[in-house]
Amino acid sequence: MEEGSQSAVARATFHLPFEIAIEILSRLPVKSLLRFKSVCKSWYALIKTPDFISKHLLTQSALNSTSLLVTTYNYETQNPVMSLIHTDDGFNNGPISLVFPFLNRTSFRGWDHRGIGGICNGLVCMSPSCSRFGYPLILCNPSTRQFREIPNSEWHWLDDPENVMGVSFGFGFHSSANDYKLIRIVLYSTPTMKDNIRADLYVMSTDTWAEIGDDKVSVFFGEMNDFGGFGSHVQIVESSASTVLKGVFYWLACVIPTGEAIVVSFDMDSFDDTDVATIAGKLIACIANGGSRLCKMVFPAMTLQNGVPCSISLS
Amino acid sequence: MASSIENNNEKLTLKSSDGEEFLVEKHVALQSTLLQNMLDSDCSSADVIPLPKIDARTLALVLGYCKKHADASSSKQGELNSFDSEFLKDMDMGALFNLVLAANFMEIKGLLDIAAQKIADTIKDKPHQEVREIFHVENDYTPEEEAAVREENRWAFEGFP
Repeated sequence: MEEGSQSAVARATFHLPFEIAIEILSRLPVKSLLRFKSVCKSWYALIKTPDFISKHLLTQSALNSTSLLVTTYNYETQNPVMSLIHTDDGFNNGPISLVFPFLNRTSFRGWDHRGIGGICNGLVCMSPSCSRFGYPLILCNPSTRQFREIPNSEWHWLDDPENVMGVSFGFGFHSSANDYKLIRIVLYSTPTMKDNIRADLYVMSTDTWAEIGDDKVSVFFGEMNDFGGFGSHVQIVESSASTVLKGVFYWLACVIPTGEAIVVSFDMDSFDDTDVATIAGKLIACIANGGSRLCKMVFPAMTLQNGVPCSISLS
Repeated sequence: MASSIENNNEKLTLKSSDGEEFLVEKHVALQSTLLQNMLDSDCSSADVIPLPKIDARTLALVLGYCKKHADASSSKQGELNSFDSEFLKDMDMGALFNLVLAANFMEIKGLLDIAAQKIADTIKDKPHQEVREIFHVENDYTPEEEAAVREENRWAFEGFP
């Protein structure tokens, strides 16, 4: 009799408490959820709430239901082709082709693996090139087929994009801010031929960029006696994907000119760059995010040719 | 004569909504956070703990699950996993719903997890119209609204009515 005054949410839970419905729905694959938005208005509203999305992510992570994103390219058009493989059904269903309209842009022709700026919680940051400057940046969710183009930021200090020597990205979830962030580090030369570095940070919820002060990124570049003596600098390895752990970005970098491999980090909480860990010895390493710990896969330079990791250490 | 749980040889009595009583060993009951809290806070000194939302058939299933998991808590996980899947096998949707409601009420996380997952696995490939019937949810969309929502994720409906 009071049904008329109840919200849409309460009405749908007449037979099953809403908290139970949430328990069940959070265990469904994304594709089923997108269809079940058509069940009723309260399910539609629920499936779109940030709280439900967080719960779904948490539940799915616990289920170990991994999806693989496979990128290749169309030999005729030279445009990238993306597909998704769900592993939880034992590879039975084969790859699912992803139709993202941006993949067919001319700027995406000749795309390669360096076009992935970072992957976090199923979100992918993509660009025609993530190692060069001035290309469009796109955030996409292969599971839901949603995507958005990241707006351009102002680079008023940059006289000429030609002066950019290298770009590095990091994309990840900043848990204390409950937000996704993209950091972009640009190495460029000034008109006086002096090398310099700038970085800015994109915040997904506000869809805006903020510049990170010079003093915060000095560790990446500069005359640092700590690394290899006067006149040396640190350069993020071009093919090094960043990894994010507890609000801190990590990249593999090397000291120029000594070639020593180090890990550089950027802490989103403190906007800080204080922590720089050095991998002992003259080693080449790649970094992977191993759950809650940072893995260093260490390759002695000798074995890099055949790509066999010699040791994996967890720190 | 009222006797406390401790004096009752580590056993307590649960009473289902339809009046059936179940004598349960304390370590089995501790699988339920609700019962654990009741025992901890000493408010369960009554002889019988009534569970007015859970019928006898469901409670028997719940206690079967709790007994297996309490007795086997340190044994092999693989054995428990096969027990869990066997336990839910061939269970109809009504029984699963009752089980998930009971697990939620009694705060038995492991049981809630497997029962909710079983329901999810059963409905994931069903058309949304059928899911509506299973959950007894009324379609409150107009045909135009429903078509618009469907259009938002048309690709997800390939192969579905």
